[in-house]
Amino acid sequence: MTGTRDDPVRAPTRVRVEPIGIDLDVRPDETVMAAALRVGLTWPTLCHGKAECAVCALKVVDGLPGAVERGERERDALRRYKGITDQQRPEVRLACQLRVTAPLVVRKPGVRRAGTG
Amino acid sequence: MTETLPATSAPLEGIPTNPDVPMRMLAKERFTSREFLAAERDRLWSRVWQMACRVEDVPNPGDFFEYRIHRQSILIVRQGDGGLKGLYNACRHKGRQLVNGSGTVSEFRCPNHAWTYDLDGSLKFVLSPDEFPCTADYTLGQVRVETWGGFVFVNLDPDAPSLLEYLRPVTDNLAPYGFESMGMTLAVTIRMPCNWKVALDPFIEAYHTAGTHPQLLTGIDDVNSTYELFGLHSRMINPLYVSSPRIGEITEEAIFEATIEQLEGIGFKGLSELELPPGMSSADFFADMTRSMAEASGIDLSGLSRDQLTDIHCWLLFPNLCLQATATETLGWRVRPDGDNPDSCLLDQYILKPMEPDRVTSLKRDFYEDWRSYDCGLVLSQDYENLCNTQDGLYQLGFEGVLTASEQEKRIAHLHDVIDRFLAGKSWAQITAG
Repeated sequence: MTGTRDDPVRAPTRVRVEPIGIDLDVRPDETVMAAALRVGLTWPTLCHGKAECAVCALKVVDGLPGAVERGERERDALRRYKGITDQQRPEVRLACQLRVTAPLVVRKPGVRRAGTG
Repeated sequence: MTETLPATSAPLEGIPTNPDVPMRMLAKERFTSREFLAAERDRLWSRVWQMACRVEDVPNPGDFFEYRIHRQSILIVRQGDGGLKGLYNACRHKGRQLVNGSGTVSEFRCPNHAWTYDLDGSLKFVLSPDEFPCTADYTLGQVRVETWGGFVFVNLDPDAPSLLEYLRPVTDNLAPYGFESMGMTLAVTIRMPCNWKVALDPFIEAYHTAGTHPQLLTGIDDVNSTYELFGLHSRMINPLYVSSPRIGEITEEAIFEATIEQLEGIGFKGLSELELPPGMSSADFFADMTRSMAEASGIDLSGLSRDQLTDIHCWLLFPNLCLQATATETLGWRVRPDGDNPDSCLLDQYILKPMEPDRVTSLKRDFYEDWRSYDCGLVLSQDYENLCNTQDGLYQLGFEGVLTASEQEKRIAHLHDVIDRFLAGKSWAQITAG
């Protein structure tokens, strides 16, 4: 934990991952997927964080305003691999690019505790 | 001339290979040389069985359908007795083409000098016959026509084995799908700026899936796809409703949701209510769903094996017909050279579905000069983007030759091996013996 009450800017943000039901504390300098990997979860991916596969894509099911807007690389990957253009389906995000400013709930089946079924 | 043609394989000095399943390098001239294309025209296309149309394209006596390969124009004609004839589309007088496209006639009357032929090609009228005393046997040139699975095939070689002999054992494997009881729901032709053999690639290997279609890896196993050779022909099986090991181990629920999303993406409705029962695999769930949907539609899937029910069975019927068969529909691609230009081909795309006989009908072939003007969906657009960005690369001085993966692309190497048998002018016995 790097954030404190006295340092609200650097406080981590709570992201709940369904259906596995795990709360992640996502640091300001990391993505949702990076936070998941840091605490020992496995997250489906082919490119391991380079926005070149969209396998890590999740759905934001609550708290969408807390998600930082898509950057260029994420928009490009969603267009190429999901057929999603800029204005479409704002809830679909790449976990490897997604940063958060307020708590949200995401859905990503396939996220597992490492070494479990 | 044979010895001057680019060889299939070149030695791969300095590149480690598995001697049991060698990686191969295909000379790039096989895809770029006009001489090579001409050799294929003269020694390959003049001898192979090639799919010309469907039987429903010529249902009634007098119906004709023009099939073109290189400069050859062949008319598939439904006869009065219900049989089919293949006729070269050239009046015996001056060579004028008699008809084009498709349609219905009672006879073929040459628009130039009115010479007239029966549906079987026999000459029945000559203007001023006293000036042509020796035309009694001037029937239109005949081309062999045979059918399988509702497909009409032609062969320009009078000495070729029968179609069924040529296709065996493909026909036994494909019989349970019942192609003869299917109808087309899509038939388009696209001009693609690449050699015809380049255009076959995405339909005969799954090696490109991770690079080109990573979004599919949650519901298709590219790594455990299998590749088998059947004489001239070959098959790939892609397991569906299982995930690729390349994205790590994931849950059945993830596979299930990804499949639902993809089905909704191609137009299925009302699937979001479905849930995967605990302990059930996605593959079992969708196998059951496929079976019950088919039963509700009166479609008999009882002949399909379990893997035919769930997996994609992708056949290449040598040299140019790909049938990507699933339990509910088959996607077909046929690729032909585009005249004498090695840098262009004609890619025909079909969708075939089981259908009540009275709904089966001929479809007009829509033609697209540019695939981007045709809504082919995300996956095919990813493939077609590759196709139209490959041919130029083959010409680069710094590009040595086309490499084929030893296992995952062995069907490509096999395709070229079989082509070489034809280019070497081998007998049918030698060709079919391998």
